[in-house]
Amino acid sequence: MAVEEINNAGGIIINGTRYMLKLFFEDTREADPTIPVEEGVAAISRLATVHKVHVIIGGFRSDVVIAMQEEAMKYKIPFIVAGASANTITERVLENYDKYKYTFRITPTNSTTLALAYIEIYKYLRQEYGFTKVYIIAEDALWTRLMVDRVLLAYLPKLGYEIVGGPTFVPLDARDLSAEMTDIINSGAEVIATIFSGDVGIIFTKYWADMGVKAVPIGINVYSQLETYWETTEGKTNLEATLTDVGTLEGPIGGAFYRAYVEKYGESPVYTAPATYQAVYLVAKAIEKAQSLDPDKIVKALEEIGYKGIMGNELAPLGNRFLIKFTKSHDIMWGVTDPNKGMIMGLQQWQDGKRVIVWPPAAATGELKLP
Amino acid sequence: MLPILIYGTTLGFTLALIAIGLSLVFGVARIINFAHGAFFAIASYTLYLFFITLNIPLPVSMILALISTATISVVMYIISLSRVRGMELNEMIITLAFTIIVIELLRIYFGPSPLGVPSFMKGGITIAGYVVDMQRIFIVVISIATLAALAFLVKKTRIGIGMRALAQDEDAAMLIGVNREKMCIISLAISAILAGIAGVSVTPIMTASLEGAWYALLNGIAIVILGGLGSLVGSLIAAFIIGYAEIIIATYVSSHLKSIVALIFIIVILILRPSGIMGRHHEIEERV
Repeated sequence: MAVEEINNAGGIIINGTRYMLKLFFEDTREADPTIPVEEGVAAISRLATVHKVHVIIGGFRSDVVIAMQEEAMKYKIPFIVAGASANTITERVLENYDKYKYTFRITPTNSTTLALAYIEIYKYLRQEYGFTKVYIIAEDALWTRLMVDRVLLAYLPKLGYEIVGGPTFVPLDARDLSAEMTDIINSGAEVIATIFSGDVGIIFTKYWADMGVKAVPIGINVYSQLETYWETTEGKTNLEATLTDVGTLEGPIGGAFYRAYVEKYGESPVYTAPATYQAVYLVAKAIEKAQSLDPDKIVKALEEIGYKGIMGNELAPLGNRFLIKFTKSHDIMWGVTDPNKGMIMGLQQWQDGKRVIVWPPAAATGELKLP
Repeated sequence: MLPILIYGTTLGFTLALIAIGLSLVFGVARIINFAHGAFFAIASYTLYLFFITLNIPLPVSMILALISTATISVVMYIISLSRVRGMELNEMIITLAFTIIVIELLRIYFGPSPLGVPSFMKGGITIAGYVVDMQRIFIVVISIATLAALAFLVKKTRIGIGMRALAQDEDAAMLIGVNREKMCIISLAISAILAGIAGVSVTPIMTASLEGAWYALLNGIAIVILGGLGSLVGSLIAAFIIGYAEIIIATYVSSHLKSIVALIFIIVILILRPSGIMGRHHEIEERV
């Protein structure tokens, strides 16, 4: 979409010569956890040596992206990460600027800010709805254990929550969660703090509904972000809430992009789409600003554009309406709940077949509903 | 205790359907069929294909899914297994390779993400404050009906008698005119249908997923070893032991340990009683 729009508008001009953007595509199949890291590295190598690209945008799985990053840095190609959250990716920019300065991250926020957004939501729930009893359940993975241990267990009690059950870590390949649901029922929890990114999130939703659990799940369930999730769970996800990218559904922040994407492709975007769209515009603007395809000059231009900060709607016609600004580590600035300060995330709740943003107020399209 | 009873029973019946097919093939054809998990996955995905993608009515989709699964199992036998009969290592390698091929083909065609299929029966009943949904009741009913039909087939029909004869003494059975190849094919098809019924029934509760193949294979093997290779009754008992054990462990110890329950049973049984609960291979124990 972005390349088409830019080229239809005349492309970019470098030193008086007009250029059209050309897109090369490599499928690293990172969404599939069984696909090895080497596929991502090979893709970067092909882009660098066969296609001789000037900028790379993409990446999804942190372990793959970290390996891809090494390869991109080897060829000094600006790499705009648009999908992986590991802190390491951008921490490297601070640790060894000369080597890793070609790395930028446009989405998502890093692991730390993702966790802080989680806590912001629970602060809001405590204040607005008076919840006090929480049960913690997560898939068993390194990132979820870190998030539970360092963030949820540390901060939820400070917000006035009593952790009445868990943390329960369920195996990624679990197929039966009846014991876990029984534990939640017996705990008397009002709210279930969830962290799921894999298939077990679907099993969780189904068991939660099938066993009539009263406590409402509010947290992260990546599959429930998808528009197809209502069908996948035959509506059992009703009232389940998850953190999500506000650019992937209807609303004041990402609605324009969402509508255009659905019209063009016939399906709703996932969280990498709006950021990738904006990244193309960002790169085009940086090249025009640098008036060069030299990677060091593009990096400098990206830093200046980022550090200055540009509202998404000014940078890209359909982009997310929040400030795009890079930190010193080349991470996208997190605006907490204020789109004028940086990127914001939203809490999406399934309500009668529709995805509704219920938090933060700047992005909300409805109010949180309780069973 | 009630949730353990309710959900352990459901899980036990599901595991029984998976494992009894595996046990049947070993008993009749002497094949340790590592393709068994693939049959479970094939049934799940073909149900999705017929019911969701092609919008064919549910009962017809279920039957088509089971026919597809059984047909694939027979084709696999004729093309590959029949040529290496008696070579146990080759049989295991071929069936394991078949599982991996099936998983990769399903991944290419359906994608890596799990797929949802609606429950066949909506709603649920409340027992002492715990909700039991109708799909789980369906699983119990269909399992009992299937196992009863299998018992009838094995005990009362000519095919069943032929199977039992082969299981007891292959040479003697062939001497009295039992067609070994035919019986092997029939037992494999029945085995695939049993795995398919399990796959079709639990897909609405879980999903159609690639991991389902390994889930079914691992649990199936554990149950067959625990119950005794080739013993249908032993597999039935072992399925409930593992089903209840998994839920008890998850309830009172840790969710995380649930996935290794089956593996622990495999090790303990192989050490203490290699022929399993109802196994007839005493010669193995004698050797040990």
